[in-house]
Amino acid sequence: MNTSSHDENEQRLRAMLIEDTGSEAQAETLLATVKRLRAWRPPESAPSAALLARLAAELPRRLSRRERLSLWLGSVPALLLLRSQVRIVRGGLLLASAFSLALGVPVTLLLTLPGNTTPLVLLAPLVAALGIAFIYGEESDPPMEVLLTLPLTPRLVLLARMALVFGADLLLAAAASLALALLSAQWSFGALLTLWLAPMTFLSALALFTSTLSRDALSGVALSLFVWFALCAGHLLAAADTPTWLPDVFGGAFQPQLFGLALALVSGALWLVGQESHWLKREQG
Amino acid sequence: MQALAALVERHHHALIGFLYRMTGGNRALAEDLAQETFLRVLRAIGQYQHPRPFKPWLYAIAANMARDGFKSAKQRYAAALLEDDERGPAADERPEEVLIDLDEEQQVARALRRLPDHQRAVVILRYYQELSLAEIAEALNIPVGTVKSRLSIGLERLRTLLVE
Repeated sequence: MNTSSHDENEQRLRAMLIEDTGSEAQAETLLATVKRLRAWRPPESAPSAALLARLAAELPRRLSRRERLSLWLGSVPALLLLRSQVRIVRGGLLLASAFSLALGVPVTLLLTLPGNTTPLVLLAPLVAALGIAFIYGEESDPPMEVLLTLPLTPRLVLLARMALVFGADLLLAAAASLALALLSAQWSFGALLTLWLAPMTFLSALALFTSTLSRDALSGVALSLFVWFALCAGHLLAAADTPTWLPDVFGGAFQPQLFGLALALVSGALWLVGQESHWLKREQG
Repeated sequence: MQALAALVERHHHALIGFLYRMTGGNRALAEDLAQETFLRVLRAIGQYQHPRPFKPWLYAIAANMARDGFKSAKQRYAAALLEDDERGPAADERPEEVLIDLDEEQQVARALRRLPDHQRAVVILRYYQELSLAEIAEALNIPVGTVKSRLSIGLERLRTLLVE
């Protein structure tokens, strides 16, 4: 080290010591100690290829779009529950619903019913109700023992399944309505939706309640069919101006009542499921 | 990858120096701890707040590594420490100079080893790594006043130890 850089170094150390101790005298006393400290140099070392390779292995990998989606689906509990129920709900149900509603479009276009009745409006509620009837019951719940051990209430599971099946039927019916509206100027999408939405919600809730009450999907199917026939009859009789005590729910009337009844029936079904799980756990305990 | 290589290239030598002195002159342990420090930096890079200076953050991690790692590996590396202390001279050094230097280095290393961890860290960060008082305060998460008092006490103690 030449003299000038040596002096500069010493000046710098002195300045640091004055800043640290706040006293020139103390800095002067400690200067020799600090100079001795500085004489201790570490061994020369360059980053090795092994170190860089080890660090490179730790670099976060850029996730593919599919991996990001999967990560997101796995991080939202509600979506995770829905995803688990997709495996439980029979795929055949959704396929049958899609097929029936797809068939409803040409039938509606070709078939003329009295009083401008739209077959799709009559069909959509029945399709949804039949699907919903099969989401509860021993046959629909092969992994019931597993479900009971999970930190999920059976009510939550039932709600998830209901949302899944009803949501799918809702989308299918909306798609069929949209197709009708596009194919014929006779119908508008909004008007069709208004006609089938309330009956669909009511009939689905009735099917769910009956299935949970009887613990048998077929009971739900039978009662839904019976009520559906009655409601269709009420609509067709009203369309033909025939006096009847049956309400015309497919004519766009009674919507608040139908939604209210549906809410009550779903609440009843959830209560029943909760009671049954308490009973099962008591039996097991 | 290029950014990582540049980061390592830029800080590796200084970090090894810090850890080498913090561990009382244990080269093998210092290299292990430097690798662990970089790994922790990578894993916690999301917590680094960009406009803040990087060096205090790096040394905060390194100081923690040195404190924890040195304690647990003290015995494991005892042999390596001896080896380091007894390493041979470089080709361009005269034997008598080497002996004097080694003796001087060993005295400094021993004196530093006898300081408590918290004093050793501030002395090394200030007089070897040349961090500012504010940077040391940020790295060790202590007030600047505490940094100054630790420096004063630490240096006084070193002065006494090196005279003995």
